[in-house]
This record gives sequence, C-alpha cells and structure tokens, in this order.
Amino acid sequence: MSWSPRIVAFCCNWCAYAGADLAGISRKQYSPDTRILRVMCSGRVDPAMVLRCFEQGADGVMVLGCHPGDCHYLSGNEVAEGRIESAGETLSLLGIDRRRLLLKWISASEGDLFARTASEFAAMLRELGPLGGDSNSS
Amino acid sequence: MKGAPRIGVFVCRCGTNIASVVDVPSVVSSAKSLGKVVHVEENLFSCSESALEEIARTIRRECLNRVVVAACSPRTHEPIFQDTLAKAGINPYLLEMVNIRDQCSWVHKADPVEATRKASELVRMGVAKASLLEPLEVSAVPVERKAVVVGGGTAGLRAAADLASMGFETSIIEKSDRLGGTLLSYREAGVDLESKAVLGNLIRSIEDNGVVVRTGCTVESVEGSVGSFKVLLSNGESLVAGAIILTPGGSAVAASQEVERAISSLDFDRMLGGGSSPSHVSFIQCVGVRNGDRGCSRFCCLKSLLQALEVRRRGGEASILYRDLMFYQRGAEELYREACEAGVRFFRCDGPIVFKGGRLRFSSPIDGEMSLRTDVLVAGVGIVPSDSIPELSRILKVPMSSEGFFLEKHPKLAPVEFATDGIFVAGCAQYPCDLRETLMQGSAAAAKAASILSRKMLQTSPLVCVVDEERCRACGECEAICKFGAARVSVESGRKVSRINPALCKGCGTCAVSCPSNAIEARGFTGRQIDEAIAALLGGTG
Repeated sequence: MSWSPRIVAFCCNWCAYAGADLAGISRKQYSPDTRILRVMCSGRVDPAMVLRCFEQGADGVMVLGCHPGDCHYLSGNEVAEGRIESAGETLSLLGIDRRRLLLKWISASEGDLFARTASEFAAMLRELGPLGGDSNSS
Repeated sequence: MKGAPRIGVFVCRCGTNIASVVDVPSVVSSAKSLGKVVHVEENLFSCSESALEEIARTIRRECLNRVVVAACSPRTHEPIFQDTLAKAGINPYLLEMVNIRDQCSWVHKADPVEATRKASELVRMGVAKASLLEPLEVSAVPVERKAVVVGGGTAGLRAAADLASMGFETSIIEKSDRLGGTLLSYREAGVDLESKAVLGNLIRSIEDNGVVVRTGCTVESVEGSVGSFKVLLSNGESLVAGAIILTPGGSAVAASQEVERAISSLDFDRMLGGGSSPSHVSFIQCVGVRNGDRGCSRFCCLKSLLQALEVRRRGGEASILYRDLMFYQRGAEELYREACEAGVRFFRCDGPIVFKGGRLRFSSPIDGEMSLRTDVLVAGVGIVPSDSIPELSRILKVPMSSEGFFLEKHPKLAPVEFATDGIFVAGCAQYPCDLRETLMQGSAAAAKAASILSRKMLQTSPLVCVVDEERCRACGECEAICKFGAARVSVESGRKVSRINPALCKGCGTCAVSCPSNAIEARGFTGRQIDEAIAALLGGTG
C-alpha cells in the first residue's frame, strides 16, 4: 500500500471553504488526503497552529483564503499572508521544506481551483515524501 | 456548561449521496470509540422533518450537551440543526457540523476506502472540537431611532429630509454658519436656476419635517456602535443616534492658483448674475484635476457648457478648451449639440496656455497654434475632497481613497455604506458628482439608514472576540489590527485594558492571533478548539 501524505487545510468560511463546497456540488474529483479545518478568516490562522500541525506529523499544511480585496473582513487575508510568510521562515530554520506550507487564494466560485490545488499539493508532497525526509532536517 | 461533555454524533446517509461512497456504518462504529461520545446513530436524511424531531428527542433522552452532525455544509445547514438543538432545550452553539458529503462522497467517488477513512477522521476532529464548545448567547441591542447627518450641503439636506419624513428624529451638524454647501454659493450667484429651485425645496423640506439644525458646529468624537452611537459636538452637546450619515462634501480647486488671471466657474456665475455680458469668454477645463492621483470631476464640462450657452444668449463669443469632453449625464449630449448649433467653439488643448493682453494663446493638436481674443478666462475647476474628511475618517474609523475621498464598503454591493455598520456616506465626500447624483445618493443613504432605524432591536452574533482582562497588558496590537474599530484600549476601573465592542466585532479572529498575551479568544473558533481538532487528527497516529 502506497504512502499518503497527511494534509491540514485551514479554509476561511467565506471563500475557500465555500470553494470546497462548490467542488463538491460540481463533483470535482480530487486527491483524498486533505482534511479541512474551517475558520472564519485566514487571519484567524496562528503560525503556532501551523507549526503544531507539523510538530504532530502533518506532511503539509494549506492556508486558503479569499483573494486580495475580497476578504469578508476587509484585509484579514493580507494579515495572514505576512504571518504565513514568517511561519515559512520558521519551517526553513527547522529544516522543513517550505513548499510544505502553501498559502493560496481560492474564491467561493473556484471549486475547480480548490480541487486542483488539493490534488497538486498532495502530488507535490508525494514527491517530497514524509515530513522527516527533508534534505537538511535534523 | 455544567457536567462533563456528553456528545451525540448523527451521521447522515443523505439518501445515497453520502452512503453510496462512504461506508456510513463504519463511520458510526469508529465514532462510537471516541471519548465523551455517548450516542451515535445514522440517519437516512438528518435534515428531514422526522429525523430532526428524532434528533431533538435523542438529545433529551440521552441528556446530550454537545452535538456533532456529520452531513453536509454548515454554510447551508447549520441554522437548521441549531434550531433543533434549541428546540431540544440546549444552546444552539453546542453544535459542530462535519461535511462528509461535499468533502468526501461527492469528491472521492473512485476511492470509497479513502473517502470513508477521511469521513471518520473529520468526525474525530469534529468531536474533539465539540467537546470544548461553550454555550453562547445571542444578544439584542436596542436601536436609538434617531439619525445624525454630518454636513448640511445638498446630500446632507436630502438625506436628513428623507429620514425626517419617515418619522426619525434627525439632526444636521454643519460646520459653517449656513446650510446649503456648494449649492448655496451657486444659488446666491443667481444664474443657476436649478440650484435655486433645488435648495429652496430642500430647505422647506427639512423645516416641514422638523429636522434639528446645528450650524457652526463640528463632531468632536463618536462612541458606541450601530443602533447606539453617542456623538459629541464641538459646542459641548452630546447626541445619540442609531445611524450616522457623512456628507461633508468637496471643495472647488482654487482657479487663480492653477491658471493665472483665470476666474472660477462660480465667480463667473456671479458675474453673469450681476448682469455682465462679456463679449469674448474662454473656458479651460480639467483645472487642478486629471493629473496624477486626481480623477475627472465629472460635472465641470457640463457646467462650462451651460455658461458658454448663456454667453451666446447674451451675444458674446464662447470657446471651450478641453482635454476630453465628458457629457455623460442624462440630457448633457443634447445640450452639447445645442451648444454646437449655437456657435460655442471647442478646441482640444492639453498643453500650456498663455493669457496676456486680451489674448489666449495655446497649441491644439487639431487646430494648430491658436490665439483667441479673450476678455474673461474661466477655469472649469474640479472638486477636491473637503478638508473635514481626514478628521472624520479618524474619528469614525472609516477609510479614505487614495484621492482623499471617503471609500465605501463596495462600489456596487454597498455603494453608500461603510464597512462599519450604521455609518453611511453620500455626495461629493465620496467622489465628485453632479447635483442629480448627489441628491440620489442622499436618498440612498437615508434609505439604508432607515433599514436600521426602523427596527426596535438589533441582534448581534455571539461569534465575536472577547478579551480576558486579567491577561491583557493593553499593548494596543488588537486595536491597531482591527479594521472595524471594535477593539479599543481604555481605562477601566483605574487600569488600562483592551475591550472589544461585540456590536462592532465581526468575529474574524485576526486580533486573537496578534495578541502577544494570548488574552483574546475568537468565540466558536478558539485556539484550544482548533488545537484539539488538530491533535485529534494527527496526535493519534502521527
């Protein structure tokens, strides 16, 4: 049996989560490795939460929010962008490949993009292999 | 919540929508093994009338105090199940939904094993979060059925007259000592008959409807939120209001500063009003606007056209120097044709002009080097934001555009609203608009404000952020990051702490992450709840 990556996807309620709903409604098939955790805004995602995911063995984390300018809360997504950027830097320091953390904007009307993103991210993680295997990990 | 969590899990088959892919009995059996879960069952359709009644009976019979429904999207079905919890006598916020249809059966059809595993794991996460759910109360705040309109120009007068005619006690706060704003100056010039008629009508309307007017007065500070604002004025008075409309207007660009020896459209109206009949008049358009940040002021082309027509009527020559002609208003195109037939001349010109010795010299890309006899040079000046806007923006925490006008919540979906509930905008404070647009916006803002003022109570969502005042160190990070002005650091019983106004908070949770003291909790999505869900997913087998 082949190895499957463990993926946590933080999805904002208004865009990305709705995009995942649309992927369902329009029966867009995608890789089944992602587990969605709903938050109201991508600005709710604490870098510490992201790091705890990796600490507990997640192979990849996605933070999915509204497109810039479309945030239900005006600019929570822009705040998230800075925070996820810094979480990525921390990952690098820990020897974890930064590609394992993905920030992406997916609107409520982009069911197809949600499905594609989930599949592509899972495929990339399959290439990278399990978390412990990154080149310079200690 | 009293007592240990007793969690009930209801797994929906959704007919065959879920059950044809996800092995529902297997999800049920894995849920049974989870801690704190005391009851698990599957439903053919959890949202059917009979199933909802059965769920309510089960909640009572099993004394459930947390409910997990594994079915479809909370975006569509959460209110239905929340209602069932309420009917069963428990707080509706003790519900957690898990979406095993949109996220499992519908999107992993080819892989029922993985779809089932995913469904079981999502239920595990849902149960973990549910064990930490707290009951939350919806609160209702009473609405002060009064409005405050800041600015007594055209937009403000129209908004105030409309609101007062609907029966709401309305006050106008005007900085200058007279009502009417820009329109008043044109009316007094005496040529613009439209301004005369409109202003007379507006003033009569606010008098007839009992609008309270305070002139020579500005807003010092505003507290509170939608339904219940407290507006402190420069004269020491304090007003309460359920809604606030901002109409501070705009100002004309100073003509003589931009073009030497030119007079403004308003000054020329005064000349014409005084009975003057100049023989050679030239107009230069787009003065002080359409350069860098500043856009088109929209009404000045039409204004100059009307004045040029008046010059022709009085037997003079009229020429308009333009960069582009913007006759987009209803009826403006017809007036342009009328002006052409009446002999008004148009010259395209976007280079420098020299006005000296009764002649206006310029270069036109169409007509070449020109020299026009000119007795009076009129600058068709544009509109710039009123100098009251930055101050009001600061006091009310509402945003400005790069041009310095007020910026609405959304240009199409919420054109006269701000992101902060209960505050509205109309007229030239938002962008340069002509008289007709200003009046329409005034009415639109009044109608939107009335949709709040006509209610006795406003319900506020309990899914907001709250500050643990013991932990708060009043650093102000939350106040700085909140786009809605909900978080404010103030002194409470001798100690500086941050407080979040639940009527202003939208519950996004962005401040909770920013707090270095971990003193802010986003209700419904607390740090512990999220961490618990992550641990439930990864902790077991990670």
